[in-house]
Amino acid sequence: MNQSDKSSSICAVCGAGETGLFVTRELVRYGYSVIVMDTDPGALKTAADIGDSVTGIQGNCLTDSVLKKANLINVQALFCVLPDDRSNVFLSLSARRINPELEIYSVASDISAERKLKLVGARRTVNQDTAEGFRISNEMIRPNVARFLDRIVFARENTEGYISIEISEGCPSIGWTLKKLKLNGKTGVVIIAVMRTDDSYVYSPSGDFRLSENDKLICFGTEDERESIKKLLWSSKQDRTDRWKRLRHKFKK
Amino acid sequence: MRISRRYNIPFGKMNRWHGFAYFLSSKIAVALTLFVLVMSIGVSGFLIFTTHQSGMLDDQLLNTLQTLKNTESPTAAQLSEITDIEMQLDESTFAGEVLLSGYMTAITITTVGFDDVIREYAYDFMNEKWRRAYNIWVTVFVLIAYMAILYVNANFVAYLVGTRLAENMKRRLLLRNISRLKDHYIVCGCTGAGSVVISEFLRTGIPVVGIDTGEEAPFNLRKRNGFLYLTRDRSDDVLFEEAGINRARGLVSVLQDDSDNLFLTLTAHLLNSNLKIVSRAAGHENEEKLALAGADVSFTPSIAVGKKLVAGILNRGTVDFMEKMIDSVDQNCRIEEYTISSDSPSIGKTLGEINIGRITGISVFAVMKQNGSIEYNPGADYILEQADVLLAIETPEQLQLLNRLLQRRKNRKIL
Repeated sequence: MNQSDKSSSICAVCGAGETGLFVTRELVRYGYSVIVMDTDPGALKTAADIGDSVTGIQGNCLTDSVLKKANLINVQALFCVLPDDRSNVFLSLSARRINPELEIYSVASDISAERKLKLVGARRTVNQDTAEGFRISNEMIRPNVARFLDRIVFARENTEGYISIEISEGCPSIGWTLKKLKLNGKTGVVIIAVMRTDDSYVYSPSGDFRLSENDKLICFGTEDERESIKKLLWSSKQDRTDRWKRLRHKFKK
Repeated sequence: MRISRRYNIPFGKMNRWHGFAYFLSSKIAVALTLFVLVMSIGVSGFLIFTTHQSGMLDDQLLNTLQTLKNTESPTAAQLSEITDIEMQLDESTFAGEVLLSGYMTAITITTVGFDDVIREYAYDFMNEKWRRAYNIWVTVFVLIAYMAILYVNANFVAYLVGTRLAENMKRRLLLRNISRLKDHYIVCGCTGAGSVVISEFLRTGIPVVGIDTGEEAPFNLRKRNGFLYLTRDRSDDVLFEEAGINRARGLVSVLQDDSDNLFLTLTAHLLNSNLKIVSRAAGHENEEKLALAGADVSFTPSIAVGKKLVAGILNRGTVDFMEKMIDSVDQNCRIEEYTISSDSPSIGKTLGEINIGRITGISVFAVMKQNGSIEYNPGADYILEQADVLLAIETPEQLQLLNRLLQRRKNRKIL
């Protein structure tokens, strides 16, 4: 999804508490237009003050009439930040019924609620305690890592530094090990992880790691490095095998 | 008003039987009844056997007396035997038998035993009065002494088990363990976010002292290695001293109430100004106040949550990976950092010289420089500088290995 597409898209935020207002502010900053729903007119006014692209709808967002007013069909993403889990699950369910394509992001206060929200179709659930706890511990133990990742995740432009390359069908490198590809030797790039088809990760893959279809290589680097990896991975297999043959020939001699 | 809570009978409807039943149900009544029961069983048993035997003895004595009296011209020895037997027959009264069985019962239930010295040697020289006095005295003394000692034992054991002594010993042990800690972190508030913080610290191998109002540590942290728990039952100054605040590296204050957090932050800052303090501000407007009180970082929980929510919509692929890398509970690998300190022996060496990859299995994928720029994928010829931050994916064990490696003065050659 590119930048111009983003600016036109609409997000809905249910609940204008502190988290809701923060989310609204961030979304406005990234160029989304936001619909905020809450029962409290005072909170809605604060939300409306954030920017012109914010519209407030007063009413209980657990009722279908309010959701209908928000016209969820045109909305790209819904943020459920109501204070209790039950309403968040309920809201996700009713919103999913109106718009099956909706991306739902929700807060949850414990694991069972997270599981239910996932079941209902939330794309992403954030546990309050975990989010806060990890923020603190990262601030304490590894402040630089936190800053580094914040920089990458919240980059306004295209993700700076983060490279993920999918080994799509027909790539000539499928079945080759990283050692044989000489990925590190030729491009200097360190592959920090590989995402398998079942969404599991292999961290710091060794040289004997064999690439298979639909793997995703993850590494950090500049744009040049991304190009050079791609070039290396997609250089034709025939080429490489020929080189191997030549080498073997040389060795025999 | 209810007199008897156990039976829940209104005061006006109480009669004497209720009171009696209430008394019977009390522990002292049970004890007394048991005592009387045991004593009566003992006394009756001993009485049966002694009277049975002494009855047989009496018959025997009467027979011998009869034969002695029937003999004509008895000798002096026979005469003295007659008086002796008559005396014995006089002595064996029923009261004496009861007393004797009481004595036997008492020394049996108190496990004193049957062979007492007085009975063995001095009893024969006593007259009947003295013997009875002796029996009574031993019975009463032994029973009272036995009860007294039971009482003392029970109370002493109760004191050891249930009261302060055990608690004090536990606390002293805890304080001794804390006094051994150095560079540890203190976390105030051990539930919710606090418990996440603590488990993340412990996973990384950093010792933590937790402080909360609960009597015991939360269940999920109770058995964790390296976690020590203090109850917040005295003044915060004392508590912080006990938690070793002078030797601590940082303090996290995540209590629910902002004024509590503020006060703790201030107290901690006054006790140790070098401490790194991170504090929660539930209200956005309190962040500044906390910073004024000495918190290095203060933040509102809603921002942590909001940031993660918004991150989801921005860069999806990146975020999924980052999430896993920095804050997943069931994942031991993390992106970790290692900062080259100003006195590090590794300054000026290249990464290839130190040979990190070969020894620890870590590959450094980026270096953050002092001026904030990031160098991706540093090669073997990258020269380490002061305040460089090495970033790599590693487990806590690998991080420790890296620590040791970079602190080493001389690098051994690896074949």
